[in-house]
Amino acid sequence: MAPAIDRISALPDELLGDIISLLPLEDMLRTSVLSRRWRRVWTSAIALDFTDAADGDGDDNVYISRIDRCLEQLSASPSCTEIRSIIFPAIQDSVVADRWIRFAAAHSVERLEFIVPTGCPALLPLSLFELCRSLTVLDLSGYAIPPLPAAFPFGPAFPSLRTLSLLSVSIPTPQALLASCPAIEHLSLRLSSGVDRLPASIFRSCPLLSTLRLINCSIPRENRSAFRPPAFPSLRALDLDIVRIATPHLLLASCPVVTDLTVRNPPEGFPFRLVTRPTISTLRVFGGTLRPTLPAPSVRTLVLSNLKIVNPPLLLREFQGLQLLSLYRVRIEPGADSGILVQAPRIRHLMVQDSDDLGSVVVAKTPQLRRLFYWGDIRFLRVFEDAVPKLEEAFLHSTANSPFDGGYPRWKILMLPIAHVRLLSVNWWFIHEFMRGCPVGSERLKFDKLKEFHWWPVYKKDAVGLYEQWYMKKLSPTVVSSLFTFLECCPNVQHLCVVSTCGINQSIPPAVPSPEENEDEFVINMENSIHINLIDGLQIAQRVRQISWSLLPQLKEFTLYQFSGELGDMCLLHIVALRCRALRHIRLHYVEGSRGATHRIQSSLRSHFFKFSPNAILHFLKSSSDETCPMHSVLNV
Amino acid sequence: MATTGASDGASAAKKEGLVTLMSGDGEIFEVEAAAVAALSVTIRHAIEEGFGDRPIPLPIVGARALALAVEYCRKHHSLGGGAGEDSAAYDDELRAFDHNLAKVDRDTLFDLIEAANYLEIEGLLNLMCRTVAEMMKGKSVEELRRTFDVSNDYTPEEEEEVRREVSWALD
Repeated sequence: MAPAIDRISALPDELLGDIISLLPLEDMLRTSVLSRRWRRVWTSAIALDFTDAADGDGDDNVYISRIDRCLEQLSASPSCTEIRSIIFPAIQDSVVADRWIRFAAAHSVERLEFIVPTGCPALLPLSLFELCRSLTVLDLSGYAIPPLPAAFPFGPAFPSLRTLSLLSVSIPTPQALLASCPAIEHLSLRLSSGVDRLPASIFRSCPLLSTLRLINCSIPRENRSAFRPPAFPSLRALDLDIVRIATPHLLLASCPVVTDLTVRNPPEGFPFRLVTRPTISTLRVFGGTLRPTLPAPSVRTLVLSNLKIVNPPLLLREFQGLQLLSLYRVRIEPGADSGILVQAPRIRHLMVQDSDDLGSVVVAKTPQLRRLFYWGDIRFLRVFEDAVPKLEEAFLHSTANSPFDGGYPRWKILMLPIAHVRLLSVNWWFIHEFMRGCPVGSERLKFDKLKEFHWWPVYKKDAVGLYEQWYMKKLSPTVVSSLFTFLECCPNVQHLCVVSTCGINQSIPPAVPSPEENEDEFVINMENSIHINLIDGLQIAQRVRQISWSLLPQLKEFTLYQFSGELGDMCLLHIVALRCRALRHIRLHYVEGSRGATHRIQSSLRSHFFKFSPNAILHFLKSSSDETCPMHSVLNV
Repeated sequence: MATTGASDGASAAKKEGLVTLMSGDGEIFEVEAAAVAALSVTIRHAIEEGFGDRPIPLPIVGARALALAVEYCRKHHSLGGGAGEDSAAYDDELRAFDHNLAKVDRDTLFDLIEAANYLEIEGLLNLMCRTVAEMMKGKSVEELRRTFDVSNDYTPEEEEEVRREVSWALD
C-alpha cells in the first residue's frame, strides 16, 4: 500500500487558519507540536477564546501568564495580522485589561468580549474608548466604566459598533457612553445598582437602536418634550427586567414601531394596560401579578411565566387575536376565581405547564388550534366535543400516576375529542388508564389518523425543573405488552418513539417502583436477557402472545431513547422486529456505560433484526444525558 | 485531451440555461447555470466573462470533487432560502444532506476543501472546515499525527522546546 499522504499540511495557511479558529485554545496550541510546518499555524487563527486558558486551581496569575505568553507569540508572528474575534476573561485588573485591549486594537479586532469576571470591579481603562474603532460587537462583564468626556477629539469612540452588552457595571456618564456608539442596533445593559438612572432622552444619539434590554435600573421622569419626537424611533423589541419607569405611557409612546415587549419582575402596579398599543404583537411577562387589562387584540403571542393572575376567567377575553398562549407556573391570587375557558378564534398553539393552581383549563372553542401541550394534573384538562377540529399534535403529560382511578371511561372522555391528531406524545398515565377497563376489540376508541406516537413511562415530574418530583415506571415486559395493546387502536402509526426507563441511574433521579408493579415483573434472570437468542426470544414471545401478528402494518420508524439493553428494552425490540414488517429505520440512542452500549448487545441485535426484518436499518446513536419528552425542547418559547 | 473536451463542448447543441464545466482531469459536466452561479463565485465570474458557450476549465478540481460540489450547489439552490410553511422542512432536508456529505472519506474531504476554496463556495467550505475541526477536537498530538498522517520532522530537542512552550495545553 502506498504511504498515506499528509493532505492537511498541504492546505494553504489561510484555510488552516479558518479551521483552527474553530478549535478551543488548547487544541489550537497543541497543533504547534505536530511538525515544523505547524509550528506557527495557530498564529493565523482569526478567532481566539482565551477563557479556555483558565487554571484548574483558579490561580489568576497562572491564567494571566498563559494568555500573555500566547499574545507574545501572536505579536511576534508574521502570519498574525488581523484577528476578528477575541474573548478574554474579565479579570478585574486595570493594568492587565489595558495590555489586552492594546493587543486587540493592534489587530483590528471586530468582536471583543471580556466575560466571566473575577475579583472586585476594576476601572475599565480608557484605552478601549481611544483605540478600538473597528469594533462591531463589544461585550463587557464586571468592570466599572470610567467617567467619559462628552466627546472625544477623534469623533465617536465606536463608529461601527452594532452590538453592545454591559453586565454588572456602573455607568457614571451614560449619555457620553451612548454618544460614543451612534450606529448601535442591539443594546443590553445590566447595572450593578438599581439606583442608576437612564433618562429616555439620552437614547436619542442612537437612532438605529432596534433591540434594547435593560436590567436593574430606573427610567426617571422627564419633560414631555424629551419623548417628542420619539426617543426610540427604530426600536422593535424592548425587554425590561427590574426596571422602574416613572412615566411608562410616555416611554412606550416614544417607541412607535415596537412589536415585542418583555417585562420581567415588574414593580408592583406595572401598567399592563400599555400593551394595548396596537403595534405590540408579542408580550412576555415573567414574575409579578397580572391584573385584567384593556382589550389587546393586536397581541398574537402571550407568554406568562412564574406569575399570579388576579382573575383567570377574564384573561382570554382581552386577547382575541391570540395565536400562541403559553402559561408556565402561573398561579392565582388567593381567593380569586379559578379556571380558564379557552375560546379563542385564532389560537394555534396552547401550552400549559405546572399551572395546576389555575384550576381547570377547558378548551371550549378553538377552531384553529394545531398544537395542545399540557403538563400538569391532567384531571384539570377538559376538551369540549368539536372544540379542536384542526388539532394536529397533542402532548398530554400528567404529573399524577393514576389520575382517573376509574380508568378507561374517563380516559375516553378526555381523548374522544382529540382522537384525530397526527402526533400524540404522552407519559405513564395514558397507557395505565387505558388498560384499566378498556373494552375489547371494536369497542375501543380508535386513533385512525395517528401517524406518530411518543411514550415516556414516568408519571410524576415537574414539567421543566429537572429531577424534581420524578418517579418512573420500569419498562417491564408487561408494560411493553400494554403499550402494544394500545397500539392496536392506531393502525396507521408510522413512527413509534419510546423513552426507556430501564437504564436510568438509580440514585438520581430516584426510581420508586410500586408494590403493584413488582407483582407484574417477570421472573426471568436478568443476566439471561441480555442475549436475544432463540430461547429468550421464545420466553418473551410466550409472555406477550396476546399481541396480534399483524401489528402496526404502517410502522416505518422506531426510535428508542435511553436504550440500556435491559429486559424491557429487549422485549420491546423483539416485538418490533418480529411483528412490524414495514419497518425501515430503528434508531437506538444508547446510554453510555450500559449494556446497550456493548458490542455484544449491539451485534446480537443486528443479527436479530437481519433475521426478522431484513429491510430495516439499525442505527446506534449515543444518548444525550437529558433526553426526556422528545418534543419538549421544541416547544419552549 | 483538454482540446477534445473543449471542441466537444463547443460543437454540442447548447441547451438553454446550461453551462459546461471541465474538471482538472478532463471530465465534462453539463450543469444548470443558475444553481452553480448562485453558489460559486468563481463560476459566476467565469459566466459573466463570457465563458457561457465554452467549457469552463477548472484545473485544480478533480472530477469526483466537482461532482459532489455540483450536487451541493443544486441541493442548496433548490432548497435554500425557502420561505413560508415549508422552510423548516427544507432546512431539515438541507441539514441531513450536509450531514451526509460531511461523512466522505478523508481524501475526498480534502479534495472538497480545495475544490470549495477554488470555486469559492462559502457554505461548502465552511461545512468541510467544520468537519476537519471536529476531527481535530480533543485529540492528543500523537492522535492528530496518526489521524492526518502528519510526519514529525522536529529533532527531539526542537520538539521538547515546543512542548515546553505550550505545556499547559498538552496535559
